[in-house]
Amino acid sequence: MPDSSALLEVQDLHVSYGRIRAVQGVSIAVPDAAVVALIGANGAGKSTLLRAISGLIRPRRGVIRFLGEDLVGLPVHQVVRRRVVHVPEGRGMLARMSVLENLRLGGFAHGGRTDLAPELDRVWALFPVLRDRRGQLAGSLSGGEQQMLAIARAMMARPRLLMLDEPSLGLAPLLVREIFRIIPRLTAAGTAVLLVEQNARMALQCAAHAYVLQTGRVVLSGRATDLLAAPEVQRAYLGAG
Amino acid sequence: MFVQQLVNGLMLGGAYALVAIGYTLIFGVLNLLHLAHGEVFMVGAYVGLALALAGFSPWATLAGAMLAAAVLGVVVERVAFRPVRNRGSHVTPLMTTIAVGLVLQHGVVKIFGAEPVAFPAPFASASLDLGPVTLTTLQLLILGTSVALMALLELFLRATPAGMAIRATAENPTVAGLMGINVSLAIVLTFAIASALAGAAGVLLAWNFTALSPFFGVRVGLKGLAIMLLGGLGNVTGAMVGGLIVGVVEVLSVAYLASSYRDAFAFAVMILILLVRPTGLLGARLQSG
Repeated sequence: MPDSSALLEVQDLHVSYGRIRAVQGVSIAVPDAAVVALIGANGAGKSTLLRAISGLIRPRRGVIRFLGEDLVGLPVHQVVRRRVVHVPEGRGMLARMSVLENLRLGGFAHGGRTDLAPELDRVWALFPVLRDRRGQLAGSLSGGEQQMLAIARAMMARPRLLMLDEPSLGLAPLLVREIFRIIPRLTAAGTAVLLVEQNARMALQCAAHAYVLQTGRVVLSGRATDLLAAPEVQRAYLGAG
Repeated sequence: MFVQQLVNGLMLGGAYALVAIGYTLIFGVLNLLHLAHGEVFMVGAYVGLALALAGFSPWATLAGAMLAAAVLGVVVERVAFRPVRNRGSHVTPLMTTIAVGLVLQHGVVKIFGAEPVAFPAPFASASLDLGPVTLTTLQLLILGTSVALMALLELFLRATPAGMAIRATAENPTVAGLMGINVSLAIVLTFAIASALAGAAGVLLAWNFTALSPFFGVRVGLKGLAIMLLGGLGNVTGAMVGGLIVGVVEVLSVAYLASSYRDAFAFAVMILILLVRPTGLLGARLQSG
């Protein structure tokens, strides 16, 4: 359902790793300040799609239109300057730098502006635990705290579009709920979230729209509540009989 | 006498540390060895020589050598690293930088000759008698300059956005890019800074030894490389400490043992330390501090 009023609009995207076709003609749209989920099995092409949007990998063909501009071919740092921020799978911690240094680097997208007080205040409000740990090395944080730092660091760039790759990976159930409690709050500041998740139930509960990917293609899409109830989704991704 | 030798060693070691830090910074961001770094150091010293002979002040000589070395370092990155980055193996840049180093060496031989040349003293040096230690003003200048440059570098890496961008690139270039850092630019900046420090060390050591040869870079470059390993791969603070240790060992071995074996003693101590601590004095960290 590509929609010309969307913040991000991906059209007929094809991405290959050598001869392996990871994404084959995917089209998705992310409206402004909404949460959109991408669900699907391992190797369905979800992470590859995010990597193509953020410029980490160049698509073979297709269009990635963000606020009317095609992002294809832009270097990674230029995509970030347009406030499209990607939190990679595995959190991408700079483990040997402090929490505060990680956050300051997250604000690097503002072109080296050094007064990041307003951004920091917003981040402290969302993640009070990080404020207590700001002097600690990022590598010494627990897994849940690292995931919060990864999201907080991305929020320092004041993203229009935040792409989260498997934020629940490796976290205890309690922390997973904590992360998913925070994700909808991010949109209040005008940030749209494109969420890649294996935990389909949690993802569909917090998203407005969702796409189901299978071997590099969108096989199902619609309102998240409709997908939650769809029998094929229940069978394949929600573990229902 | 011992304290005097210690001070002399620190002076020499400070300049070695500047060279070793360059290797460390470049290894930190690229995970690759820059085997023409000793030649960048040597060319910096010759540019200093040309400026000194043209009558420039000691500070202008130093600044000119640093600037020339920085430009040369950026050129080396363009010619010997960028074309083979992400392509070819880890061995390719070893070959390309050795080639660039040989070209630089022969270029200097062509212009200045292969024989050692005298390097003019920057000023008529006065002696300061401080009880057990006698310092010359030149020694103070050499030691003070290397300490000041290292302090400035630490400050730059810790407290400026560009310095933090270099540290982030050293830790993880992909993540650095996702933070909005222009990784290619951070690498170029790293080469410029590393090479400027080598250029400064070139002039400082030329003042110390009062002479210069086109093969100066081979000896000092090798020592800088070994100091990087001694301090811990990619660890800037380790390179500083390692440089000072090697300088002191070298001077003490000249004073108390035999001057013809100075390099042998310096390298023997490095090998001993690495046998006990294979990851170097402060461990491999690929970043400052």
